[in-house]
Order: sequence, then C-alpha cells, then structure tokens
Amino acid sequence: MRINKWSRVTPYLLLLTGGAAVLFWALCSGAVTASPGDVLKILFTPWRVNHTHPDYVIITQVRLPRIVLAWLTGGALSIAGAASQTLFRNPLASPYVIGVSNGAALGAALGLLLAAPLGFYTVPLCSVIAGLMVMVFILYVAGGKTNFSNYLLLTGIALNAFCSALTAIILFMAEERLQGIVFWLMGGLWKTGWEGVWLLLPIVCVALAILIVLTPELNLLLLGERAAAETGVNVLRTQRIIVVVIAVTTAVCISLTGVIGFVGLLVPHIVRLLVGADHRRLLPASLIGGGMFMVGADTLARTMAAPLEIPVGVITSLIGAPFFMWLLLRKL
Amino acid sequence: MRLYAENIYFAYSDSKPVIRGVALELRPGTVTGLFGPNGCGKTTLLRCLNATLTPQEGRVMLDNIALTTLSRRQIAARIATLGQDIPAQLPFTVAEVVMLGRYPAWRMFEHENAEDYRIVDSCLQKMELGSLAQRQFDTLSGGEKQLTLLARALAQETPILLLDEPASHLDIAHHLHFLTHLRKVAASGKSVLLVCHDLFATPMFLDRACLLHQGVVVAEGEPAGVLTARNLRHAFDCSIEVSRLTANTISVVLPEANPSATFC
Repeated sequence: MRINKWSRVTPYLLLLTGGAAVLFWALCSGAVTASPGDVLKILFTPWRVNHTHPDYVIITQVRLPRIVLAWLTGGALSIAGAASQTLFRNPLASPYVIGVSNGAALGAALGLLLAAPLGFYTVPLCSVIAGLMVMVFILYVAGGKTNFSNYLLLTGIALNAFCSALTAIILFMAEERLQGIVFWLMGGLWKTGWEGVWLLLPIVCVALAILIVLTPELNLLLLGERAAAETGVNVLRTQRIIVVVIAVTTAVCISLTGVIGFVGLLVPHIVRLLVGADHRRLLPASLIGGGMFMVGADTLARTMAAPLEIPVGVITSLIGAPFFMWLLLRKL
Repeated sequence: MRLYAENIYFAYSDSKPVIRGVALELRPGTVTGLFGPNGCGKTTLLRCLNATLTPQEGRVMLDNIALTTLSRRQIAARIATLGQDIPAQLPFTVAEVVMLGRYPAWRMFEHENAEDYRIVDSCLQKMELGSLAQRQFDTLSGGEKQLTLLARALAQETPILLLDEPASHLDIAHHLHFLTHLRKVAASGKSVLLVCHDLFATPMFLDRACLLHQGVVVAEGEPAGVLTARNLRHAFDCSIEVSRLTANTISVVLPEANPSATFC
C-alpha cells in the first residue's frame, strides 16, 4: 500500500500557515493598532521592550490571553464536535445535541446569578457540575441500551428543552443582573484574562490526549456499535469516556465564553474534507482549524463595530450557518 | 481452536426464547452452513457464539475457556464476525476499512506496522479488491462493500470466522470465488460458520450443515444428510424436492412453485 507522504502533510502546512497568519492579524488589530514590527518585537524579544509601554501592556495582558483563550475554546469545541459526530455516527451531532451545552449553560447562569461574587472558579465549577449532572442523567437513561446513540439523541432533545426552560426562569429572576447573563449567553470573550487560559489549557491537553489514545476505537466506532464490539472494542466503556471528555471540555468552554454556536459542528466537517476522517489526523487538525476559526471570528467581533463589540457567538453563527448550508448543498 | 455451544437458551428481554436448547460445534478445518427460515434465530445464535449476546442458559466455550470470561479484544483476536449490516456511511478508503480489522492485534498506543500493511494487502488480493484499494468505501457497489467488509474480517486472522449472509449482494461469479476461498481458509485449519439462504451453490462447499427451525436444531451433520427434502419441507413449510447429483452435491427444486399463483 503506497501512501503519498506529501498529500498527508500539505493540509497541516496549510492549516499551520493559515493559523499563524490569523494569529498575527489578531494581535495587530484592535482598538489600538499596533504595527506588525512592534508586535514581533514584543512577542520574540520581550526583554528589550519597555514593560510599561501601553502597547506592551495591551498586547500581553489583553490581546494575547484573549487570543490564546479563543484558540483553545475553538479547538476544544471542534474536538468535542468531532468526537460527538463519531460517537453518534451522525454528521449533525455536536455537544449541543446531547444537551450538555445547555446543561452547562444553565449551571453557569445559575453560578452567575448566585455565586459570581465568590470568585473566578465558581462559574466554571457550576458549569462543569451541571454538565456532568446532565451527562450522568444521559448515561442513566441511555447507558447499556443496544442503540445507545439513538437514546442519547432523544435524551438530548428532552434535556435541551428542559435546561432552556430553566435558564429562561433564571433570566426571569435575574433582574439587575439580566444584562450580564444575557450577554454572556450570547457568547463572547471580552471578560477573559490569563486565568481563563490556565484553566482551559490543561483540560484541552488532557482531552486531546485521551481522544488521541482512543483513536483506533473512534475509527472503529464508525463501523457501528455492533461491528465495533465484534472487532474487539469495549464499546460501552469507550462511549462513556468520550461522553465525559465531551461534557467536561464543553462545560468549561461555555463557563468561560458563553454559548458559542456552530464551531463544533462546522469545523470538523471542513477539516474532514482536508485531512480525511481518520481520527489520528482529524483531531489535531480540528484543534488547529477550530482555533483559527475562533480567533478569526473573535477578531472580527472586536474590530467590525469598534469601539463596540459584537458577541463572537453571533459572528460564528453568522458565518458558520451559511457556510454549513453551502457544505450540505455541495455534498448532495 | 474449537468453538462450541452447549445447550444454550436465549430470549430477548420480555419475550419468549429465540434459541431453545441449541448445541453446536465448529470444528477446526471445516466450513459449517447454518440454514433456516427467516426469524428462526440464525443471527441470534451467531451473536451468542461471539458473545455479543449472552445466553440465559447454557454456555459457549472456546476450547476450555468460557467465552464470557474473555474481553471483547481477546474474543476478536480469536473470532472474526461479519454481520449482515453494511454501514450506510463510512468515510474511509477500502484499504483503511480492511486495516480496521487489525485492531485486536494492537496493544494500547500501538498502531499499524509493516506487517499489518502486508496482511491488509494480502486480504485485498484474496477478495480481488487490489484495484479498489484506494477507492472511498462510500462509492462502492453493494457487492464490493460486502467483499471489503469480508476482507476486514479476514484481516483479523482469527482461527474462527462467523459470517452472517456474507454473500447476499454478490453476483454468481464472486459468490463462487468467495466460497472457493472459504474452502482454502478451512483447509488452513480454521473453522468457518456460514449463515446463508442459498441452497443451490453453497451446500457443495460445506463440510457440515445445521438446520435451525424456531430456535431448535432440526438436523446437523453432513450437508447431504441434513438438507433432505423432508427436513427442508419441515423447516421452511414449503414444497421442496432435493435430488442428489453426486455424493456431496445436491440440487434443490421447487416442484409446486407456481408463478401465476396470487398471494392473497
């Protein structure tokens, strides 16, 4: 069997160069425009730069953490999306479909309403707890059933409706906090700093590592649950691990950035066209592609209507939805 | 390696048993055909034999080991199964699909090496798929898909093969080629179970046959002794005549089949 090495490497080179370009563009643009030369100086020779200079402060304390967080969120949501599309063997699946997103959003909204003054980690914690509770409920209902993925999808529909209703009640009770919660729900990266990065970075690394270890199982799950089991996969255990990984990464992302749509659905599809469906290539490429998409969308969000900022979730859906429809039409 | 079922009963939850006291043995070096009308429990029996279903009574043994004590991976290293379902979508090339069959041989963190590629190549050749190796699975015809999945099962290189209607989409030439290949597989000491509906070409390639009816084995043994007119009439409830052409070749005819009869 001959494999053309270059045809495997080219998409990655494309993604990496594109990613670097987007990163650089994102660092340069904003309310204060920094020249590309200055940005390079600050990035690569920080010891030669005056650390009290406004450009330095803006880039290292405002833009850089925001961009890194955007990258991690986009990457994490894309990985979770790719994993859920495989888990359900359904191209329309994403963390939203199983209800984890809305569950996590409900937890985070509750955290914002009641516990926000208690410190930075309370909202993510509430979000993860709610996400995990949703997941435990899903596993309780669907676990062990022979057609696991059907049950998951149906449970997800019910949970989505239920969690949305509860979130609506929270909004109803929010009173003077209403605006903050609504803005957060729309999805955005404005309230971010390095602390968000340090929370998300290890989670993304662990999630990616677990899924990379599970790539042979993920590939086999595409054959169908029964055929995967007959080929030696411990299907139930694999599905459970994947569900936990999806739930935790999604919940943490959502607690930091609100509900950002379409990244987890769209990016894996585009990346699959580039590198194929083998998860060994799909997952790392999703991390790069999702990050690139998110950083690009966030940069648009903060520059298009400057000094106002459009919620990035609006941008991702605005670009993502038509693009996804185009993708669907093309495939048919 | 000898796979045998001892007096197994299986019922899906809240319904009456589908398998009622079946004993079946797959001997090394033989091809066994499993026949029977629709819904008689052939597929259920096959799933009991690879432990994706667990019988409520009786046990399935692999040599002296109960199948239930082995992990899915250990089972897959010993028993390859080809189910009836063909995945509607599988975004891999033919060669990648066949490579999936190498999974049971890998440990954690392990993936394909040169040996695996060699095995995949040889399985592709055996199923005459060499020219399709780099084609996308989704673009294949039904028969080609079936051959690809068959090559995947062969790539597991197991001593036991369980095949559930593996030839239902194959044309006559590929069907005969496939049956001939099964004989070669058996000649190398492996045991093969073939669930099928074909009474015309398949019997002459079999060493043993088993006829199932309402979850009970009606007859088991030499194909010519099992696939008799009397047994087949009983199992299929349909007028069937069988004439023996040679010692091991039978020909099934349907004397009362009437194309102009209306079903009402």
